[in-house]
Amino acid sequence: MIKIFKMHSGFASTLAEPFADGLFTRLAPAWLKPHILVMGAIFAGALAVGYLVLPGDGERIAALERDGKNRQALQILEQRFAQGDRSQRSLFQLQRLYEHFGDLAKAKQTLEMLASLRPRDPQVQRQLAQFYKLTQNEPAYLAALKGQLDIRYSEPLCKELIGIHRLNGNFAEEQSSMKECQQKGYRRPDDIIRFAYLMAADGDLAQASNLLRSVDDRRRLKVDRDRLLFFTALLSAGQAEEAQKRALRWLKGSRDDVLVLLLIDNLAKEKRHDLAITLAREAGAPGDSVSLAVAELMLDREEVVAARSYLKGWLEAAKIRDPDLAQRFVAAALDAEDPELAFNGAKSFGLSRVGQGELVTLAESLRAIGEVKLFQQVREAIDINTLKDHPLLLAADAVDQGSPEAARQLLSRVQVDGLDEWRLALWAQLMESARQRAMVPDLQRPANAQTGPAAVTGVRPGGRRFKAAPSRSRYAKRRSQQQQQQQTQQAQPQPKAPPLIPGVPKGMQFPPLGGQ
Amino acid sequence: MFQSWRPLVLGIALWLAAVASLVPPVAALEIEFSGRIVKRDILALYDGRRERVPSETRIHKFAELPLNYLGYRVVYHDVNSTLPDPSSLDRYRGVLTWLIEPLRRPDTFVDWLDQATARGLKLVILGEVAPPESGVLLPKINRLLGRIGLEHTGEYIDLTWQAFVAEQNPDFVGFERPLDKVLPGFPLVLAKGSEVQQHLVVDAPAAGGRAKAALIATSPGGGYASLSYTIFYEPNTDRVRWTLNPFAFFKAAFGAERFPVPDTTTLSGRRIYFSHIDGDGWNNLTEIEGHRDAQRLSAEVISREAIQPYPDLPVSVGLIAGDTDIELGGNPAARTIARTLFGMPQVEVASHTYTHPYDWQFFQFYDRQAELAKVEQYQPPDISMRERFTRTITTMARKELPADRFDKYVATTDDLPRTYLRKPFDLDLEMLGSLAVAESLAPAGKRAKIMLWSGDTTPFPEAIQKLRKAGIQNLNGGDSRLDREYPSITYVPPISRLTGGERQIYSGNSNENTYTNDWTGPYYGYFMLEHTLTNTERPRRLKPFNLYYHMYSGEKTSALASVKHFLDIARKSAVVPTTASHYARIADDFFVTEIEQVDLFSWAVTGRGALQTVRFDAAEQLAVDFGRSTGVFGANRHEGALLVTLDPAVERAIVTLRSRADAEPPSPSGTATTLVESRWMLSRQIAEGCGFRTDAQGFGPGEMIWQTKAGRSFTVAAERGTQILHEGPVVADANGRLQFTIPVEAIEPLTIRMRCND
Repeated sequence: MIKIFKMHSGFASTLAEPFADGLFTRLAPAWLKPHILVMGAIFAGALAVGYLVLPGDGERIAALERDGKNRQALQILEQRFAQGDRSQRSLFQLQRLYEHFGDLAKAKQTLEMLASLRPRDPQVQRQLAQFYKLTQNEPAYLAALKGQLDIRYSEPLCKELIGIHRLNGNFAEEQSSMKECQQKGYRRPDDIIRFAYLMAADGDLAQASNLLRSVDDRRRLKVDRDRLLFFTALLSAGQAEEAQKRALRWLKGSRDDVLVLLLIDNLAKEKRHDLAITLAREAGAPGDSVSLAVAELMLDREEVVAARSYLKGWLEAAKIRDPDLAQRFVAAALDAEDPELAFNGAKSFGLSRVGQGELVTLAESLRAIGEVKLFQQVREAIDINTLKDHPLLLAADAVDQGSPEAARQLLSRVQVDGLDEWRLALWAQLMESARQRAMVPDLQRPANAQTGPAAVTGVRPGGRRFKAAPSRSRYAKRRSQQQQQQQTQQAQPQPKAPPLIPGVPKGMQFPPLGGQ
Repeated sequence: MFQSWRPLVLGIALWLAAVASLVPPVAALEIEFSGRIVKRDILALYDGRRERVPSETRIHKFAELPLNYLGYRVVYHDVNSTLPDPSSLDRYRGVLTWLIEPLRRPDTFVDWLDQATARGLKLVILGEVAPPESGVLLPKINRLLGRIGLEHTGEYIDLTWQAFVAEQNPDFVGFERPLDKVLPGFPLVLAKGSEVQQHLVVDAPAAGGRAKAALIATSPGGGYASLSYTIFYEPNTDRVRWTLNPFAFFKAAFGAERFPVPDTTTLSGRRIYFSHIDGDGWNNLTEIEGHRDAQRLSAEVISREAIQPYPDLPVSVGLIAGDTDIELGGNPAARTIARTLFGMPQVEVASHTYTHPYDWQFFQFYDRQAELAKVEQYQPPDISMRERFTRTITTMARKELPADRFDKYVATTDDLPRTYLRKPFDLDLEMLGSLAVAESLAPAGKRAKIMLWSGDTTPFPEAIQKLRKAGIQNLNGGDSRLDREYPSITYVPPISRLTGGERQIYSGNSNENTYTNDWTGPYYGYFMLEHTLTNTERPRRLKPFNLYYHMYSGEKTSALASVKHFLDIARKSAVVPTTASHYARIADDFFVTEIEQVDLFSWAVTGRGALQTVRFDAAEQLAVDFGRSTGVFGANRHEGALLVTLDPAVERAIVTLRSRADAEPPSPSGTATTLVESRWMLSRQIAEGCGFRTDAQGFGPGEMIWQTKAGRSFTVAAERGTQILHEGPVVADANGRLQFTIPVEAIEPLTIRMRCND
């Protein structure tokens, strides 16, 4: 010990040496040697440091918690709190202990206090938000989520916030959250798409289009319905070319006839047949349902001859296996004024598999142009239950079976004023046939029908095709319905132009019998 | 001559007016003839290729609860198996489908459905009729829809941004969530016929111009709700909510006929309370101050803190027999605790299986070798790296690990099929053996009455059958929640789950697992049970008050605090405390109760077993006609419903209703004294002059409210055998309300004698 003291004294002496002479030597008392002062200073410093590292209440509390003496720890903390301790460490500890004991009211209070002291601390704010969530305090949780987002953007938090509003059906809040999050960089495709739908529901197709564009540009627009909305929005914004380009990209490598046809429909509605036809040609293959739409679009544009020619080529390449496709082909061919072509298509599918409605129309068309043999083939595929609702066919049967009287009776029960042009012609033809076979005068004829040789015989003059059916093809049906709507909307009915030959549809210039 | 008819006509008119006054304004009263059994069965058809078993179907998960609430029993049938003979379906009230995915044979299905519903069976369709609804099938589909007064045009409206809601019935739409602002796509189904009630109509552009689609509709033929207008799924939160009001919809679709609904949530006019504990964590050392230093096991903490201080609240304790079996890895101390627990009068002896299976499907087709392979491959998640390395090296060297290392035959997580794996699985031991072990630790004569399912709570039929044959009840599964975190009744399960013809009864509430992230924290989460208890009580009492937890709640301070919190609530609440086995019996008997209409406003309730409450909804204007009822103790009201308490001693109870506006007809002894509510369960009421006596049994003090003549006084006595336990005067107030408490124990049945002092 003395050795150590001496050693330290020596050290102190060394330190004190500079002070050995001068003022200190002259003023200090004799016993106050420099080395003693230095030692004293070191000792005092050690005491101070020792005091500082002594465990305080915080450490004591932590030690109590570690030893599981939580009640004691809580007691100390509550005392300090009552004395005004609002330090963050104490509040953290208090909050943890309240949770430990299940005193949720106080845990909440403490945590809120902590959060108010550290409003920009993301961890504290997160902890507060989590507490609200776990204690099912939804309004506070939503406010806390928003608060967190104000501090720092987070995709999971945005997703959660938007989701809760959506689940609760708070659409305004959902939209405003979506907007705020998007401004901060939120790009989850599902939510952006949903936002687009909300915009569309508000009538803002332009904004919907912009939102969907941002998703599609990232190749994340994958659902048909979403693509259809985008497509529709682009069309209504007058951006048909862009719509078509995007559609081609969507369809590249993925066959989706349903979607293609829907897109084509939409283009046709917007009168962009050129784009629709291009889309059909690009997306379809010879003989498939998409390429059939080309013919339907041609018919929509009244390009009957072109459509007819296209349909012939289409049928050569097609293997019709789908009833819907068969129906479309038959309707298109009839609309193209070529019942024989329609017959060929129906036959390749199988007459027995074609829908009864289509068979009736086909049969009537064939009969009207005088193709009796083909008519009879089709007639055999029509079942008796269907036949009984179609008196024209029954009358044709009666004529063929040599029962003109029966035919005339059937025909006389038909409300001819309700017939469309071509069925009226068929009616007139059958009535004439029956009359000729029975050699009896007409008992009934429509008011505007002409007697005598001007009635239609079914002979096709000069290659002119017979416009057989009322328009049933894809677009023509819609076209005729639009026309009907326009007619009903007009206050005054338009005067009908009188037929060139009374009783014969306009446009049919059949020469009278006998070459008159 | 006409003059003599006048009184007759007047009489008929008055009778009709009286009848009409009992008809609720919105409900049609469909009475065909009296003496008929009320049809309560609904045939639910599902596609087993998509929804493997009934408990996985949309109908079970979402629709069966509201159907049960309305009094219906759901019978499931897979459309891919042989469909029943249409002529054998007379017992059913209707057919319900909720089909989305394409069927294998939609044409066959539609033909069968056509035959089935041609005989008058109501047809209720959620979603599509027979997906895929091809054009070829359309005429047949329309034949079916025609019975509901609807017609499918074959068109589907995909984009709806130009559509708008034309009509919306708030009683049917917006039940848990308003109709979405972005209207989902829908098939264009139109209403045809004047009998169709359209509850949601959307005006949308269609092929032929604009059309009004009937998206939710009901008629005398049944009902239809378009697929996306039933429930709404929110993907960010992964939660579901009803858009459609299933209670209103099913009531209208299956017929708004009024009949007494067997109720499984109420006894003696009060909400049922029961509690059950699964034995998991029995042998865990507690961390709770005051117990930790004594190194108590969690089960002992629960016993001391949550059971002993509450002798007025029954609890069923499910022991895992393996926890007491040293050979398997159990702890002998567990037996001591079990003896203490089972010795308490309020504790019902129960089993939580022998070896605690987690994955029940694994044991349906049990393969011991496969199980052993899993044991060998298993690495506990909390194993250290060093331990892992040691095991690997030892195993590669084909040596046995020293015995003092962890026991591989005792699983600490559910990564293995069950907890105790040392011996092969034995169903008899698991079921009856475990019950016998529990019973052996109970006082002589105290029987084990119920099995509490373990693990994933999906027992296979043979397991349930073993219990049924032994007369043992079973319970667990369902995980019922209805709160902010699970904000829909879709998270409240129906009464039971059928598997292979055997019935598993679901528990009333979820245990603490779903509140504590599978017991990883926060451990105070179970406090949130309060929300579910509130939401399943109002506006409809969907479930009893079930306090369900595990023994490991005795490990954590806040978890124990939450359990005690609810025990205190139960003690103060107006409930009927009973055992878990009793509740299970009530729930089971829902399915065997028969209701027979015997008169215009009178029904016989038979075969009900332990179920002793029937309910009439929307009954503010109705009351029980006690003079024309039999075996009826009394009635209480809850949120507009009338809850009628029946006498278990009367096998064929007759419940007759009258208009509330009419005065109660006098009984032979003056105004009858009827029960409003009681904490005890009552049976065998025998009139004694203007008073009566009745048997009673229950937990806690006998709180009771009766309704009688205003100011009438009684002397109430509680007797057991010849001993008078309590006697005292009671007087009804000015409203005839007679409220008193009998401060005696009634776990052992006693007799209450009410001598009136008129």
